Amino acid sequence: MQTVPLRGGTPRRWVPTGILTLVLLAVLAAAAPAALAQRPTLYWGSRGQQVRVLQWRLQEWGYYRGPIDGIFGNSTSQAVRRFQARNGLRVDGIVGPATWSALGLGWRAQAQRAATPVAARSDDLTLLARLIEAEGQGEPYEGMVAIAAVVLNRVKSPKFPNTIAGVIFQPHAFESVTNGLIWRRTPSALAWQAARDALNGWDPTYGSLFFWNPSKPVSAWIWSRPVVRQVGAHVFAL
Amino acid sequence: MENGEKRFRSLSALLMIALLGVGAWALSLRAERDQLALAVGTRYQQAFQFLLDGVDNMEANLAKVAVASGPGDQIPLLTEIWRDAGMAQTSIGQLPLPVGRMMRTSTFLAQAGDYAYSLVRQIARGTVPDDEARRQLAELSQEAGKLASELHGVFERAQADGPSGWMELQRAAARGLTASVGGALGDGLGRVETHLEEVPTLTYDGPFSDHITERKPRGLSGDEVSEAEAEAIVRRFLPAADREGYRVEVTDRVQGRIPGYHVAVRREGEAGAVYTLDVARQGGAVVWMNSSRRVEENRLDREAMREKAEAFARERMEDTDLVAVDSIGSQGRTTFTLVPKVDGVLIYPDMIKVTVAADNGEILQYDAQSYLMNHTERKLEKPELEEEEARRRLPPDFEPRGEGRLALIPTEGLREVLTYEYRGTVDETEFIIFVNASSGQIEEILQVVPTSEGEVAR
Repeated sequence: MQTVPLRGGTPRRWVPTGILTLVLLAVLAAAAPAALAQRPTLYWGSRGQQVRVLQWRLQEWGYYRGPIDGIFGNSTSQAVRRFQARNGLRVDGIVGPATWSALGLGWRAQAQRAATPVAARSDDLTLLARLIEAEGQGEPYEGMVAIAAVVLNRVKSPKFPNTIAGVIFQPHAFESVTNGLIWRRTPSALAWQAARDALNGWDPTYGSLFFWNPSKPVSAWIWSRPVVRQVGAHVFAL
Repeated sequence: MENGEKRFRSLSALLMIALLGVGAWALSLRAERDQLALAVGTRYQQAFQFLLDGVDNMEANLAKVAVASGPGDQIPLLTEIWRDAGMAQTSIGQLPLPVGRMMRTSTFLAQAGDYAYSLVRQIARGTVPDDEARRQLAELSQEAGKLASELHGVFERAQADGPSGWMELQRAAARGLTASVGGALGDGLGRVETHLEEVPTLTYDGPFSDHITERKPRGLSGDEVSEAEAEAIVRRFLPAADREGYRVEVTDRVQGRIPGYHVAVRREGEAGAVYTLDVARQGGAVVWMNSSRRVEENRLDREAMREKAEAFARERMEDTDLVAVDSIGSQGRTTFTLVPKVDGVLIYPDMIKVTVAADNGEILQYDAQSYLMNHTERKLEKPELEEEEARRRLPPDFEPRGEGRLALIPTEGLREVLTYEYRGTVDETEFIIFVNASSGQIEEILQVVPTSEGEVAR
């Protein structure tokens, strides 16, 4: 349910060079209606969601006091006429483009179907699975999930970058990225499963931000972190 | 004789040519290496300069926002602070520092940006920042100023050394996990960190607020349990029918925010664990259970698995009414999110997750960490708006399917708000919209996208 908020971004650079801008504007103008849809013309007897939208706005602006029932009847028609008269439109009780536009509802957002299926956009999952494969060789299953959990805990922490790629590719953050091992191994089925479990929210490390192999030389500083647990060959700490 | 001399000469000439060739090759390798180092070092220099620019802009805008008079001036400035802080923090993540370096600077930037963003949201909803907010902004401006001047000191150094200074820092950092790296740049950045030591704590409605990073579990209650008691609890908890046949053993202890026992469950005579679990020391609640058995076949459909998940959870949380709100599955395992329903209200923060195997319906995983962190005896207030009134606040193009249901949801800052939850469509796209049950404002919009693994709300 919780999504990671996107932070940062690069400042937009606007180059106001004549022709380029014109071309860009032309492209934008041509592209705009594709993402938006025009509303249907409504009149006495119309029914449905669009009538409900009309009644909703007329009520909000104080022209309509009837129920929002989606039926274009007498009271809706009266309200439309009052609105048209007050706004210098032709008073015909028909809601066409001009009236919709005056109501501030000229275009309606047409939700776009995603261009690529979401499952194919699992770049984060792939990266996590690769990291698990490279860092979690010979580890028990929880140890594999724990590695991915540390990445996700870092994403949530203000102390580290706030995207999965930002955390994994941070210089010197992971040995397998520094020595390139992450690119030489193909994730096993278990690594994929562990990456999915971590993304589903399972965190056997209780918010840990660091892990290391205690049998290898590490700095004294890292041992100053409060240790949560050991899983397999790795110590996990806050 | 002459022949031999000739041969000797041509041989040495050949050798000379070979030597020259090797020399030229070595030189070209070196040039290539130098070029790569220069390219990488330049990227580091760029990242550092982005950091500097970000902090400079933040300082200026924080000073301006203190004198800005209305939302029209405040919102653009606060938004820029948020963006610049994000850019600066991202840049820190690109510098070749040893692990654990500049975490304080990063925290300061993340919190300052996040705080500015929380004020934007607040102003957009009609609440003008109070004196306390102004005081905090002034304080942040001062800190940003100090940080900027420290960084400018390092900048002088970085200019003198150029990209090679960064490469020196990278090599030092790559040698090990040492936090005390030599080199002028490393030292300078180390000093920046120590100067930020006394940054005041910031509490507000955002994900990086100090009240979240230092969170304690609310759902633990009861006396401390012993190892033997933990083992007995696990035996009762196991999903297997033949639970008496297993060997249950505490194998480790866990510290951290939910201190507990780690328990392994094995079959007699086997070394590998069938299940592993964590049991909270206080009160003996099972925090999570896992079986990493691989599932090869998909025999059950999602409906059948949902029933298994609900039955398992209900047996273990007897006085709680649990409702499955979503599911996601792959590799023969489907994970259900179960949410308690109290007095007709779905309590999202108290969710638990249960994973079911698609071959035989066995329970493979249980995760109650969110429940144990958030659960507490809440006094749920009556919604101020009727469902019908809340429905009227929905966006006009959104067509709700059925009536809204009451749901308690966490905000980014883990405040809990009572809302009406609506599921519906705009054209053919699914959305879930949460409308605040007292103010009528929209608290959250989620888009529901169908994937091969199930519906995902994002």
